[in-house]
Amino acid sequence: MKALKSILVVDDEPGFHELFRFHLETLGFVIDSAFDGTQGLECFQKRPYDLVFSDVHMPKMKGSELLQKIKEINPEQRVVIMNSFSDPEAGFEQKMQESGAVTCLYKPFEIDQLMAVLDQAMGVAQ
Amino acid sequence: MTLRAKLWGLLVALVGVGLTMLLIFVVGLRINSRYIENAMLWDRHALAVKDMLIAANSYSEAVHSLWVEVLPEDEELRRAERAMDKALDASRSLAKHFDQKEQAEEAELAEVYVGLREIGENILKLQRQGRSRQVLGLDQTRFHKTRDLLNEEIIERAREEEDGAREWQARSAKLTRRILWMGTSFLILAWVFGFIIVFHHVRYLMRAIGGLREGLRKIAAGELGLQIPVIVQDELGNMAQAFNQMSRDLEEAREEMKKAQARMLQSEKLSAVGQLAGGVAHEINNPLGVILGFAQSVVRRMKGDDPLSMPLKAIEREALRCKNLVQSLLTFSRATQDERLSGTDPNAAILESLSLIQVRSKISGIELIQELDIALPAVKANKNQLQQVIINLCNNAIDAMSRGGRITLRTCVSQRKADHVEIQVRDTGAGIPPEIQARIFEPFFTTKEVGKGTGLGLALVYEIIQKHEGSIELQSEVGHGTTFTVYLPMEPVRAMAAVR
Repeated sequence: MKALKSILVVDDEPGFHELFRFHLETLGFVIDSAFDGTQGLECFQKRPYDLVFSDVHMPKMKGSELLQKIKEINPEQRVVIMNSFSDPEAGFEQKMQESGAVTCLYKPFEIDQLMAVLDQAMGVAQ
Repeated sequence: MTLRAKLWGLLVALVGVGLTMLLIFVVGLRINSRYIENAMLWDRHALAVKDMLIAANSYSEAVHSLWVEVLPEDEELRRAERAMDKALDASRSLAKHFDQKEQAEEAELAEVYVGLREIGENILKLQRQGRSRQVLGLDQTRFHKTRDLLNEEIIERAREEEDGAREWQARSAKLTRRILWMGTSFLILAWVFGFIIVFHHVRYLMRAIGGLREGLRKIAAGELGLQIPVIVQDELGNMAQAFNQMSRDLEEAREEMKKAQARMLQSEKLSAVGQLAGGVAHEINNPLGVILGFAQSVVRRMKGDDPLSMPLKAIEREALRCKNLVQSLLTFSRATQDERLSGTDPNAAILESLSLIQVRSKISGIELIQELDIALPAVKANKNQLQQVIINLCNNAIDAMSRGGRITLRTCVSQRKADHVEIQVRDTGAGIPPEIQARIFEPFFTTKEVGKGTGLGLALVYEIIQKHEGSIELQSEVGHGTTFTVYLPMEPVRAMAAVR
């Protein structure tokens, strides 16, 4: 039997943690939650994850900073960046990918989009 | 006729009147002096003839005395003869100035005198010869007859001469009166005409200047576009025309200013909307993401006949609607805030937008036709925004053609606006009723069904085009289709050369 896939969700919005758990746990994923960047980094330092979802706009540590730190620790780590604000600065997605993110997911996303991203990220991981 | 020509004409007429008056007086006076000379000549002649009468009488007296005096004394006769000859000569020399008739009469008179002298000489000869008796015996009848005839002739001559003098005097007087009369009437006529002309012109000048003054006053009071009548095509007429042109230009400028103000207001409004949207979107996206996610997640797990499936699907649908609206707002916000412009090929922008347009046009069975001018110059534009314009216009076109149709995308160098490029999006759809054509660029104005349109598409198009210093025009006929024409200024050639 395949080991359960573990996912770390870093977001200051509790609603998203609930959504991820509700939707993904039934599909056999293990979800860990962190509510800001610092907390997210702590979780990541404790154990490895198959995938990290991180919001960009968070208190204490921004998603982009967290991404950098994670990549410093483990360059192979798969990270998906979530953004609730299509950044007016052009090339946001490109910049994130250059920093090592697999892809970007823009809120409000549809479940189909989430699943597609998951497929893409896990597929790369496998 | 120009005012200048009129003034010159008036001056020439004035000089002409003066010269004519002068001519009348000079010619008249010259003729008059000749008349007076004539009159004097006749007078002198009359005097000469009167002298002759005296001389003739003396001569007759002398002859008569020879008759009675026996002594051959001829001294007195010779003296009378000389006086008579002198008078005759004087008269004859004056007669030279007169006509043939006068000279003939003069000759006649001289003949009569010669006859008298013959009688006198005869008597003198007889007296010298001492034949006094024979003299006494001579018949005096002939002498008396001749003497009387001479006297009569002379007196008649004198009367004629006096009559002549009087006649010439009368002529002179008449001429003088005529000159005065002619001069005076001419002067009065000139005055009357001059007065009429000057009065007419002064009135015209006052009218023209008054019109201009009134026009200026009204313009100053804000009545732009006012046209004043052009009375005559002269300098003042030109001035009136220039005034009218200025008035029209001012009106146009004011209209232009009003439009610019309206555009600025619109622009500010949109900018405010954009800022607000940008700020709010982030806050809305998070809760919306949760709502949409849960709704979809639950719907996926439900069986089709679950009674809760319908309300959940409704939640999902409405959340998607919100998502689209926020997306539009964000696009709008970005489009209104991004100001970077660079040399852009409109054709390339169109071609890169096509794939997005085709996604929808294929579904609706709409044919896409491209009429792109390959030699189109670049425009100074933000490529993303330009694409946004094209996509939005095409989306509207697709929405207007629910039963299929044709979209024509056309580019060309504008014939109507110099140094502009035209991008045309033409559809064969429902058309836009005239009463709402003025409102379609307003933010949040939409004719689409609830949930289909945000009312931001054309507002964004308008806003972007304004930012590009371009303009957009629309031609639409209900039931036949709509054509949107976008005018964008070409990139200056110098800038192009620098890019190359």
